Order: sequence, then C-alpha cells, then structure tokens
Amino acid sequence: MTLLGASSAATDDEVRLAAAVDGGDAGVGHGGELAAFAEASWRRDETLETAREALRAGVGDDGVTEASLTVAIFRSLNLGADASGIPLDESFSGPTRGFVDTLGIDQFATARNSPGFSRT
Amino acid sequence: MFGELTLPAGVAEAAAEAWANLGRPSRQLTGTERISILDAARSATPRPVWDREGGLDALRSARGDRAAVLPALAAIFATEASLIDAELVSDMADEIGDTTYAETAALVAQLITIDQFCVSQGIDLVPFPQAEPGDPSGERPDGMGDAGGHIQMTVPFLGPNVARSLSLAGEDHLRWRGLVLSMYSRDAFDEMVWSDRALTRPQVELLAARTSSLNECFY
Repeated sequence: MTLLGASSAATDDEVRLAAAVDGGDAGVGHGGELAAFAEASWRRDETLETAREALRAGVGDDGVTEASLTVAIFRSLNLGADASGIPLDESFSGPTRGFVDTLGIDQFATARNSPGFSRT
Repeated sequence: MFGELTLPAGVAEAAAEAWANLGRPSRQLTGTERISILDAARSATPRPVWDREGGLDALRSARGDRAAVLPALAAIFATEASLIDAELVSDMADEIGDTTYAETAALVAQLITIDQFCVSQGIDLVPFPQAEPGDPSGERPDGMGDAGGHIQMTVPFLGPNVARSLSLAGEDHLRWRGLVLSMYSRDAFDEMVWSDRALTRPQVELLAARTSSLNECFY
C-alpha cells in the first residue's frame, strides 16, 4: 500500500488507495482491469479467463505475464509475512499511519504483528 | 517449465531451481514429507473469511501425529495464513520444531508462487517431482535471532523484514528469495519508477496491494 502511494507520487498518478481494499479503479492505467485480474486470480474461478483477456486488451501479453508474476509472488510474500509474524518495517510505519484508519486495514488480524497498529 | 512463455530474466531459472529441490531431503524434512506438504497445499483453495473450512480445527486434531500435522499446517499456509498468531506458532514449535515450521512455510511459499503464476496465466500446473530418498541433515541455520516476529530469523539484517522472514528455513528460504527477486524486485526495489517493464511501478503495486488485502495481510 505504501509503495503504491509512493510510486504513484513519483509518476504523478492520482491514485485512490482505497481501491486496494475495496476494489475498483485506483486511478493508475488500466487500474480496473488490474484489480479485477488480481481478484479473479485469487478466487481462481470462472471469471479469471474474462479478466485475463480484458487485461490483455489493455496491457498486452507481456503485461499479463508481469501481472501474473506479481499476483503470484505476493501470495507467497503474504504467507512469509504472516507465518513469521514480522512487524511492519520502521521505514513503512510513518506513511502507513497516514491511511491505516481510513482504509480499515488495522482491523486485519495480522495487524497485531505490528505493535501500535492493531484495532482488534 | 512454462512452455513458450516469454519471461523476465531469471524467472525460469529461479523456478527450475526451486522445483528441482521440492522432493529432495532438506534440513528438517524427508523427500516424502515434502511431497505430502506440497500435495496438501496444492489441494487447498484460498477462501474468503466468511467461507473458511476450519483449517485450525484440522490442525488441532492432528496434534501428536507429525504425518498429519505437516499437511494440515501446509493447508493453512496456503489458504488461511492470516489466521496464524504467536500462540499457534509456539504450539507448532513445540510440536514439530521451529525450523521444521519455517521450512514447511518456505516450501509452501515456493509452491504457491509457481502454482499461482500458472493459474493466473491459464497454463497447466507443473507435476511434482518424485520424492527422493535420504535423511534430513537436522542442521539449524547460523545467525538466527529474535527480530520481533513469531520465529527467529537472520540478525542483524539490512533490507525489508519480509526478505528475512523465513530465513530459519535455510536453503528453502534462499530459493524462495530467488523467486521474489526475479519476479518482483529485480534489484530495483528502492526505485519508484520502473521504465523497463511491461507494467509501471504503480500498476505492479496496485496488484500487490489488492492481493495483500484479499489475503488480509497487514504487512
């Protein structure tokens, strides 16, 4: 989330961070298609093929491959973070405090791994 | 391994390295145990919070039987990792050892990376290799210490915590890190503008953030 905000600022994109939590278009190029692809990939249901082809129409074959790589590696990065219980890095804490309440991610059970962030 | 797909440099090599070692005895697990873990992880499907199957109950029921605990734990890693807390990890450390816990997590991490890529791309999953004979070495990685998480990890460490999260798993952690480096960061983690990829950095980070939110991963 923090890196979405920071990279969008660096590229002058007007990003809507809430889209990362509630879906929809975040304001980056083909944001709606990217979010739909991430969701369908996670669900692994019959909507995935449609989402993949809609994304392909926007970003091409290499873009779909890059998206698939990203979704795949973040599934496992989430596992690594949750299984090990690592706290949020100091360098991410400041920016995260700016949106954690608004987005409600402090209600995730895994927020308890990062002292000072959990609402549960 | 992925047919005719054109992949970024290093991805195919990292995936092949991970896959070649899936069925080999490691520090804590036999080849047969590793394949049973992979089978359980592949069979499990991610579920939203309102539709979960009670994986923690299955794990509690398996206590006292290592052959049942390992696949039950693998299923949680693959589908409900956000349910893991310090108490569960402490119980697992007592049950199977903290290094076996970490190795199981790192093994599942490698599998779900490659399986999810295949699913997202719409290509066939790769068959598992055969379990290879031999005994685990039983060696604990050097340089582990308390870093504020549920398990020990490399200390001291420069870089984001997630990069050392499963370092207690030794070589399995390194192979997973190889996947992370080739598939995501590619020595450009600190650069906010990526101009040499098919997607921009904000597009990649949107995918990352949406996936993490679906997994209810605060980190």
